[in-house]
Amino acid sequence: MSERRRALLIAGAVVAGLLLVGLVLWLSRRDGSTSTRDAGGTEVDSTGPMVSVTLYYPSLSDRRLHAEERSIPESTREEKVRSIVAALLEGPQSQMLAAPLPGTIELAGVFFGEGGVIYLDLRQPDQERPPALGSLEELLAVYSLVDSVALNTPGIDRVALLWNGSQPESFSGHVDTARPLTPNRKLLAESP
Amino acid sequence: MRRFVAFCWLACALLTSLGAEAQEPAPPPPTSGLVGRAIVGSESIPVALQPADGGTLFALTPLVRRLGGTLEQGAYGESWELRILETLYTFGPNSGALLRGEDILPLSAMPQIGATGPMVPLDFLEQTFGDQLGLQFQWEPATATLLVRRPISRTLEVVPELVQLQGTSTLALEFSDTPRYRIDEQPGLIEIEILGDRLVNPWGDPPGDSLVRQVQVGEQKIRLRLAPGTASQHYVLRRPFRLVFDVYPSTPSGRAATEVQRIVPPRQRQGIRTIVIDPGHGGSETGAIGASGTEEKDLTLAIARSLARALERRLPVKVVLTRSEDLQMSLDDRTALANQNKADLFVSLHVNSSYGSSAQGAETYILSTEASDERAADAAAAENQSGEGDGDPLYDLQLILWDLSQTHHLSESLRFATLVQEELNSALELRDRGVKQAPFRVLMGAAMPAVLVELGFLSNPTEEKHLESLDYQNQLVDSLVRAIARYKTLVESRPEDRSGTGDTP
Repeated sequence: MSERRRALLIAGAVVAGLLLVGLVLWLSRRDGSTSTRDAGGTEVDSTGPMVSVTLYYPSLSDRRLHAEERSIPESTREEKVRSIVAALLEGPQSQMLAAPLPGTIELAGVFFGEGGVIYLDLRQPDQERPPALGSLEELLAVYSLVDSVALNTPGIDRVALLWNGSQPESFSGHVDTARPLTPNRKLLAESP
Repeated sequence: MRRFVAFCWLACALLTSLGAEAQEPAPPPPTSGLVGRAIVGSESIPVALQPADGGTLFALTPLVRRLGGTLEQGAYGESWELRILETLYTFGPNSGALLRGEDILPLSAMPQIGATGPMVPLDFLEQTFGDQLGLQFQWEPATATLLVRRPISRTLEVVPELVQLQGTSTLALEFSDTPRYRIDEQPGLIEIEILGDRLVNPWGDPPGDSLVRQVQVGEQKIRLRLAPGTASQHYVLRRPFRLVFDVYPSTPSGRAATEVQRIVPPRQRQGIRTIVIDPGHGGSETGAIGASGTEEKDLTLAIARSLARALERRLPVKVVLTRSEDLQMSLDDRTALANQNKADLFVSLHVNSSYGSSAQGAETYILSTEASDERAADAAAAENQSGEGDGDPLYDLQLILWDLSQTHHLSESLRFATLVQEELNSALELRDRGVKQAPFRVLMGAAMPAVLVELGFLSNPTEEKHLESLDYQNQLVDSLVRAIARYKTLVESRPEDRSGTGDTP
């Protein structure tokens, strides 16, 4: 091998190494940190501390709300509530349970009112009204949200549900949502 | 060798550019850059603007700086808090709700967060600074100018009228225009301070009575002197604007007796003469929808019409339908209709739906006791609340109606619901699911025994087919007629209760 050929090979190897290091650096900086997705599909930093929450999903077979555990990042109360609602709308892990409301529904706003009341402002693009539900579905959907939020959030005693910024007398024509609701433990299935 | 050097330069340049891209912060979000001005008195201040669905948004920070109040981000991140005088308003981006304490005030457009802080719609300013400070806001888009004015003091006529009926004194203050006011309640004294306007009282002060000893209308203040041992509630009625005070003895037994006397019609229920049938849902509110497209609102209307005809044919009763066609109606209007008709029985018809497809059968619901307890707590809280006079005018009345009706009629509702369930189970040969309780809005406020019947599950394809068939509908109607007939017989065969406040001697 000539001197010139050997020099070219070494230089090529150095450049290839530099390119590889650069590529790895760029990719790692672009990601920022190691991340994963939580139960609600939200990208979270899995390196930070996590907390466990219990979510309550409607059952497909009985008339109860069934518990599922989730880990969500430890954060402010508002972010915690947003993670809980996102996970509920994303749906359960068990195939015997259902998401309380369609996944296209969004949590537009969270307000902490006086007297331990939290206001969840829900909406769905291009939908003036909440979804049409039967009374059993509505009962389970409403209390899936109320119980999951209130029972996981210290200091929250009642949950008011808004739709597009207004508090409807009922979401789907049955359950009274014209006032903040306290959790309904009677709807919760007993733990196995 | 030149080629090699050039290649190295290219590689370094590429690495530098990649590194630079990775390190550069994200560019700030684009802003519209629109700036208008607010004219406050003789002063002009620049105000950032942002177009939005439903109107223009205005930067709040410079307005707060000029008009007063404090604006800060809430302790929990996204929410913002605006405090004007003693009132705290909470709001957030991308939500059309403005919270004033527990009151929810709808906004015409959703606030956004701009480069200088929150951007809010015009009605936000009207509902905060307008209500608290009496300012008027006028937006002139042609010149991008927001005029902020303090209106010239008005002269409002007020006519006080005091009546005492069945142990409660009711004072109605009727104003010629909507006033701004503040209410200060102390034991034995209520003062209504008029903010900015001047009052005239063309008819003079009314004479006092045993509960409201004196009514004094001044130019800026109305004073009510109350007898010792009284309590009061106030509410607003509109068109014309009236501020109404109910004053009653404050001892619990005295108050309860007063409420009973006020709300219960002065007659005894001696039988089932008027029945209100409520076909659930209607109009754009379809209710549940079955797999093959059957809509709950259509089924409930068809069965309700059939039930009304059968009842009037087979029983000596008057039947009123809350709706006889496909129209939307609020839940509260349905029970209000039953109350107006002095109905003896309220039957709301629905068809159910569940998350799975296996649920089947008919069920009968009465109002849950938890809902009853919560409403009672709400009523107590409402009674203790003071200072704000702009609440829902019907709320207190609703609570009283509910309290009364549920205390007196829940057990009757359960008795009737049991008969309905027995008849439906027998006709449909179903396992007895028992009477259920739920916090259904349509059962609140009915001043009579009230049940909600779920006639079947649209989410069950087999049951959906049954429900569509006329034969099955007739079986349901027959069952309901038999249940109502049994209940009517039960009620009318009881010995009369002569302890009430009836008109029977």
